[in-house]
Amino acid sequence: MSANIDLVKTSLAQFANGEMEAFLGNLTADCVWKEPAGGQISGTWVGPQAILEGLFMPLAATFDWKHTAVDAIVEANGKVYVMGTEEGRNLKTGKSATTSFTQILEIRDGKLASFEHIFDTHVFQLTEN
Amino acid sequence: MSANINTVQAQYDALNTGNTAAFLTTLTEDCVWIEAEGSMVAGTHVGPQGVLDGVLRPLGSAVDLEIRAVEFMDGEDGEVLVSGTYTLTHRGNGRRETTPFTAVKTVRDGRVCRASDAYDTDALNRVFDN
Repeated sequence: MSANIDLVKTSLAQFANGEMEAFLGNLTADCVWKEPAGGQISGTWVGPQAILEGLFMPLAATFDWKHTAVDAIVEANGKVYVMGTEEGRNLKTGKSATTSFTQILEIRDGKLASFEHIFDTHVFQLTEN
Repeated sequence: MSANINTVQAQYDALNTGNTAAFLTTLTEDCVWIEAEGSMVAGTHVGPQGVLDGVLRPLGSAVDLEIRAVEFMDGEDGEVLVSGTYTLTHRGNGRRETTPFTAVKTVRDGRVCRASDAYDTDALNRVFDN
């Protein structure tokens, strides 16, 4: 296993276990994190503190979110691609949705330098009502 | 570039140039083509005719689709992973939206037998907003 894939697997496990301090420690100071435009929490955040306050904290207040399956982790062309299925339960309505996702990560000097999250936000919009 | 990647690249080239006949020749007779739930062509479409009637014709009547496939990677068992961007332009109101995508195409004997992708359908569906 490459060091980059090892870092990604470790980071995913930390995130899943709620070990946020350790997870954020794996990000570069200028890490760029992108969430899709159609989502309840969409945008681009730069740096661990902005990612924590702008994305993770609002997400935790809105959805109980988790990966239900990771089908593939592939390193190619200088990036690591994580593909699988994720589930979110809307904390306001209790409704859940599941969709396939891809995360595209770039790694620099042993840390996550960029993270792009691709999934269909439509199914999560349907949990609002 | 591998033969499987060449096949997938040819499929995108055919789509981008509107060459429907060439596109259909890249599919196996039993090809399974899966579109995300929020898409205007959502569902599982089977075979060249099913993809033509269920995906290409409905899409083509409403929007212009431009696919910019940037990265191609060979996976296991004939899979080709693709990442890039989709751009939709509505033919009526001219609205244009772009979103990133990833796709997994499975190639068998030089043709695509399974296709699925991940992207934000809500971002692209904004072209239908007034």
